[in-house]
Amino acid sequence: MTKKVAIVAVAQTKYEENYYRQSELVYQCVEKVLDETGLTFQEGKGIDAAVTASDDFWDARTISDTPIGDVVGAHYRAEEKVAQDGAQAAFYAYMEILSGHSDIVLVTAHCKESQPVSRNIITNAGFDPYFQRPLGLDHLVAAALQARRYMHTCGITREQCAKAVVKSHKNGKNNPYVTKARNITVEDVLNSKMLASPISELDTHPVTDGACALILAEEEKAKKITDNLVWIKGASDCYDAFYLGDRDLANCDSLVSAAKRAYKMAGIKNPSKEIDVAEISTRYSYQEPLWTEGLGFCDRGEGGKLLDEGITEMGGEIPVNPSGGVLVGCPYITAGLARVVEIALQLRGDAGARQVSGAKVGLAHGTSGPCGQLHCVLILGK
Amino acid sequence: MVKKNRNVAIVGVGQTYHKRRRPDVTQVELINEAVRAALKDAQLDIADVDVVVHGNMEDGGNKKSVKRN
Repeated sequence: MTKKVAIVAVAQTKYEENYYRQSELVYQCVEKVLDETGLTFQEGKGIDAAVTASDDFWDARTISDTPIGDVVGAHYRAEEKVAQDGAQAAFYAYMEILSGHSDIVLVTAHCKESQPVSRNIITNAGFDPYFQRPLGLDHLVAAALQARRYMHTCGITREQCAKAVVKSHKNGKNNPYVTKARNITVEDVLNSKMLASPISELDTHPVTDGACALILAEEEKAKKITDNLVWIKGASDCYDAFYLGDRDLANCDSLVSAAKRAYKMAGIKNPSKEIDVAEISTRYSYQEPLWTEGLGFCDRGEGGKLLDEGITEMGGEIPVNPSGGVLVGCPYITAGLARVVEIALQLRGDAGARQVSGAKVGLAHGTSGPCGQLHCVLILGK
Repeated sequence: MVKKNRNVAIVGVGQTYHKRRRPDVTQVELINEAVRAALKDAQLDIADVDVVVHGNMEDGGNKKSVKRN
């Protein structure tokens, strides 16, 4: 029988532009999860290993995990870096425990989006250096291509996408870690500065810095640490093709596949009925309807309807991003792990003003690469 | 404490032709050379592979991974 793995502690920083170094941001979170659990880095008495998420391009240095070794107790211990979204680091740590290799694993993610003059400089570097980088492709421009293709194919409107932004800002005001939430309307989104049509300034995520951390533990040790456990019920990931021309951007096939595997592992047959709350990584507004379709919360092409009918609002049938999500600011790399942290808070009943009452099963989602190339889905439960 | 859940075997290996410079191939083609050799060694098809683990030093994302089915 597969062993059970629980989240025993979570922590996150405020998401805002700041002057903390990367290691300081991570330290703020690590200190909190160690204090909360009483675990230490002493061999055999606490953390067995660490999985850290960071990126060389964002941190402007190669081997971006070297400066945070000190704060994750990496000396004389296993530490591995995931150069992708933090949700993938949680998935990796989960597998490390399932394999029997470690019992208690610390997971961290950090990123400072405020460092480069423009985030597009960094995401441009993710494209192939010979043909696509010189064209000026970056995540924003790629997202605009996907938004157009998806909206054209499925009849999704800019107004519907704007509703996801308005919802995020409304929810974000209940989240003490969010600093960019404002009182905005659909008109404000439509009239904000156009960046890459159809994506305006408010359709994309504001610049922030931040970090988060969590501790995963196998069942027996987890039960000794805390009574308020959140279990990982299922998890999976899936990659799509690297070259945008090799995909139909109206679809998110790799999300469909990742979700299918995670649902199967968690025994979920009808996600829209069985999942009480979801935190998904939407860097651009069109991604909320597209990703919710991919996750099977509605039928294909119905993602706009979920927003029109308030199904994903707080108090709706399946609240999506009660924290405000990435659209109110949560940096690259950190975003997916922060979604796992938020779902853990929801299921523990510790989500304060953003709490979805009685939430028992939650979904956390992370993505990396242009237009959702990689998706990672985790199902958590009480 | 390390507890082994199940045994794992290496069923195929492959490496490229090593040379100081390989102007005849791109990064992707170089990887492909090793992958084809490993698959041939294992007598497997890429469709038989569930997961790819790819270690690299920032190759600018210039890679293609298999889709999980």
